[in-house]
Amino acid sequence: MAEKTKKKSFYIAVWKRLKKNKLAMIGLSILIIMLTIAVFADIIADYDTLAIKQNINIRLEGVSKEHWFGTDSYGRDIFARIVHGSRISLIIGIFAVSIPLVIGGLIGAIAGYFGGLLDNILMRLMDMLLAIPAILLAIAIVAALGPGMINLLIALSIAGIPGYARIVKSSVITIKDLEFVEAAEAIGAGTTRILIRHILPNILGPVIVQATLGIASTIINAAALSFIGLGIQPPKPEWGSMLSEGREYIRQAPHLITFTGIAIVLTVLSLNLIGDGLRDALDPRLKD
Amino acid sequence: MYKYIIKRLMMLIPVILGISFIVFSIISLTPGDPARIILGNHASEEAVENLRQELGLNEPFIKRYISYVGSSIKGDFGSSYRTGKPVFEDIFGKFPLTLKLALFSMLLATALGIPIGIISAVKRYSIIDGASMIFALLMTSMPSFWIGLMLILIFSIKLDIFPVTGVENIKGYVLPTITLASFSMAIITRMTRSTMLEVIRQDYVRTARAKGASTKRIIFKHCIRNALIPVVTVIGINFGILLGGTVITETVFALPGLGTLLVSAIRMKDMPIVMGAVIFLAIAFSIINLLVDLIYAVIDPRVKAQYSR
Amino acid sequence: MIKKLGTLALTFVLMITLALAGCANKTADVSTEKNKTREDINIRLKTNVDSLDPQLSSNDYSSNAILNMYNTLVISDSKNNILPCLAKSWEISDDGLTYTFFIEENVKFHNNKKLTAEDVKFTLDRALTVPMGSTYAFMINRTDIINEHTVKVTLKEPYAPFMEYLVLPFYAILNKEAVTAANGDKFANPVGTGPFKFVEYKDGEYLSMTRNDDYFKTPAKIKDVKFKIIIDQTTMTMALEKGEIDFLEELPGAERERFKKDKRFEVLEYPTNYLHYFMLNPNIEPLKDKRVRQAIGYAIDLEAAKKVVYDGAGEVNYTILRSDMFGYSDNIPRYTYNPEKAKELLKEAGYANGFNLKFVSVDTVAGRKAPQVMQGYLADLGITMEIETNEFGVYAQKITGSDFVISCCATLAQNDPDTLLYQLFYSTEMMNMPKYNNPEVDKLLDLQRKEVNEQKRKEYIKQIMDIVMEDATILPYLYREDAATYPVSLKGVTPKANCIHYIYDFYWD
Repeated sequence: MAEKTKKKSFYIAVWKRLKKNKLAMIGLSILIIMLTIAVFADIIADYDTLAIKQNINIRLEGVSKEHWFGTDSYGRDIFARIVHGSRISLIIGIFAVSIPLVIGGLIGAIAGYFGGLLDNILMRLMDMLLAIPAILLAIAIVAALGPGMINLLIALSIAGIPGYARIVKSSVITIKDLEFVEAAEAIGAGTTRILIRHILPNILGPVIVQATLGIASTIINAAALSFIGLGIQPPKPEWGSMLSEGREYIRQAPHLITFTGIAIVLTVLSLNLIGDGLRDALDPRLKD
Repeated sequence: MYKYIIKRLMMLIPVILGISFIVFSIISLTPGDPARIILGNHASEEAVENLRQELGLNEPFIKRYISYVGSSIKGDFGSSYRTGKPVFEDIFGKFPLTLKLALFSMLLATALGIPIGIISAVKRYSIIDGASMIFALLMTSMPSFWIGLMLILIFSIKLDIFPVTGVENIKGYVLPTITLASFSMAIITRMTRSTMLEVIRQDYVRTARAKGASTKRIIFKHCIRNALIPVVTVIGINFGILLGGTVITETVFALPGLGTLLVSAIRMKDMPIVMGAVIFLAIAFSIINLLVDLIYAVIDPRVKAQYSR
Repeated sequence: MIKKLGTLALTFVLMITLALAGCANKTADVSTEKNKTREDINIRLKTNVDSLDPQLSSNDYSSNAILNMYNTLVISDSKNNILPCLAKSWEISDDGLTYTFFIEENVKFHNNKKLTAEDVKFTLDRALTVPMGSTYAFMINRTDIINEHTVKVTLKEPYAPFMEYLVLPFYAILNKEAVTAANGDKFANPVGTGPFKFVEYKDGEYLSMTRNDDYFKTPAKIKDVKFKIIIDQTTMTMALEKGEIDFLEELPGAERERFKKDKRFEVLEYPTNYLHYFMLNPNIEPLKDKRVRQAIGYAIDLEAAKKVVYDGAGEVNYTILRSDMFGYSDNIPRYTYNPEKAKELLKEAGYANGFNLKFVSVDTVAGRKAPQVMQGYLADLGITMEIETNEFGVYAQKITGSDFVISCCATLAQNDPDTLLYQLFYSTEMMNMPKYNNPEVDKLLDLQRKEVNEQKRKEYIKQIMDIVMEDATILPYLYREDAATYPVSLKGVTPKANCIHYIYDFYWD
């Protein structure tokens, strides 16, 4: 019972601190808007008639009352495509980070805490995956599985695991020999308890910063894969493939890449702002 | 220490066997017939079948992998299906460009990222801190190909300072380097700042402060050394991101590097090149990881003690 | 401070947007004066070189580039007339079976060896043995040496378009000694007789050549030729504007207006003989029913599709043959945009609610766009089409293996329709990738090939066209129109329908 209240008050304190951080609040507002747009995409703009239906007579039109962000080379409404694209990008960003974060984080924590042979085996496995750069690994996997959203997710997730494992491991190493962990060990606390109660909160900062940047870079990596022709299949409105389609018309119709680019920048920026705010708010050493 | 290095290098063997097996299976098990790809769509079925025999493509998958490992131990990595040239001739032809690009970018990212990160942490909440953090945020928020495209438009077309493509002289490297470095620089800046802030808050810094040590002395003597430990890992990981990122950068600037070679080889199922490039990258990258760990040991005596155990 | 930072961020985004918009009108320096005295040229090459041996290349872009180091027996002008080259003259027997070529006598290969009938025979004999031989050399029976500078080629059957074939890089005359020594190495140093000599090839970077001062005609005016490999279209047009390349043959439709207005550049649009078409596989459900295939034909607005895929460039084609080709007739079935009729046909075939299918495509600009447009039109009929974009090699494997339901392809047509129709519809032809099999059509194709009476042959062709259009395994799309683009001070560019550019004719003035 006491345990629960303590946890609850901890999160209330975190939220209170977060609320004071204006940048984080700006980020949170942008993200909430983005999430709302993603959730209510079908109400905001009809998918079948605006986002994917081509209408060649009105192709490459500029900004107008009917088409807020203009139309693309197939005469599709760019605003509608950005709105529906937010679903794809957010889903990929969130899932392709949380999956490897959990798996990689566990691996890293175990390796860092126990060290020795277990560390060796786990990290050698990670090295195997790390032995080729993540995006190349993702490209190889997508090339093998074929394009498509699920395959893209799997590829990005697998490619992300070793990075998180290493980050968590190095954080655990720096922390596990600090006095308070040693003290906990000395009073006979169990391994699981030490990992969760003492080490986890203390490494949460760098991990959250990393995860935030992770969602950012994952959204960008997914866009990059689409940019080089792997990834989401047309006519689905993925931001990266919209950018690569628009690139060709960069001179005649710069709005094709401007609005989509801004959508990416805003989304990723909002995540980064929140991550930063969260890090400051979560850090127990900042407790007043 | 030497024992440790040798031990680590020995450990490379299973890593390379593992990754080569993974990649070999990925390429083998996906559709697409290398023999048909080599001969093109005009070739007759018979010619394709003959080539399949010649390349041993009709053998079972495991047998092919074992014979690949066997001949590569003898130093024979085969020839590119596409160009017919020995694998390492192709790879060594492309690698210098990619390495240069990655190194220049790493240097730029580190040289700017660490000092900016430290200054931001020390002068927390100042306008410098705010501006550099916003800048870093924007850099991580913009796709590198977008940055690259914009740099080309502004600096090549509009201002006519740098070439659009080609690396015949050092000028050609400037825009690709900035493009490639932008993301890593932002990450290094942010990581340096956040670890610096953590270190500044640690007990021993407070103690040093309480003892009356000067701020400068505290920062240089205590903080940077400790703060750099996680940063070194980030730099190590970033080198991988950079090597991978060259694929995108090379595409935007139309540069013929190892990244584009590998990607086109994966897509063309040019197995010898894919395997050669992966093994090459794996070795290069593992050595970088080893160096990172060694630097680790140098700056963090606790880790060193663990290694000599 | 937050406010300040917000403003900062906003300014940054605005700056970028403005820079983008601003760049649209910027002119870079491509000085006409400086160009006049130049002796070098940089040319955009769209792909890597797949072989320096023209007979082993299966990539037209690559082989057209290396052709500048070789000569063919004959060449064609922009009106597709056959002109002498290494063969100073020729005789065709009355039965159309034997061709006797009289070879130029003072021609030297780049290795200083003299060109003899031996080399010509070697080239033509080898043509029969290489993989591409089945496509380009099927008509040749044997080649005999008459004397040191005369060869006689005997065909299996009379074959009128034979001379059009001899123009292609595949028939570049090789040096027997050098090719024998190379032993199948695709990247051995090429030894030709051409106006340019090989200097260096760097994969992914460039192919460079230098003038052959011992050329058997007047040496070329250009001295140093560099083919720069730039795959990406956007990079390509920027490189042209910056003067990093001087010549490109395929300016995208979307860029043409801008470059035409730009006084520094010449944009020369010319029709090519490259026919682009869709392939419908009649051996796989639901395309087994010809009404379904016809419905797809009626469903697509080709003119609109052209706007998206080529930004309006090119000549939409409904009849496979072009009006200036032998045997063309106005009066054959065609599929013009008619969604109502398409729906009706689908309903008749029992697919009123549509179905699912997959388009196998290739990773090029057109290969990405064309299926997307089709996807949009088919969606109107309730047909859900998935698009699979493959790397060229994988795509080639899939289409030659007939491993597709619907796909696209392009082929170089000759002015005589024989080869084109054979390739597309003869049951055993490899290029008949939908594996269309109609004994009646086979019989008619054979008849027209042997027919000497032009009127009769036209009738056969008309009959063939009636049947194959009705069966709709091939839906023609357009004849591509290219646009050679280069600084105005570059002269001597005369585009040809087969897309071969002879740099020998180029000069700066």
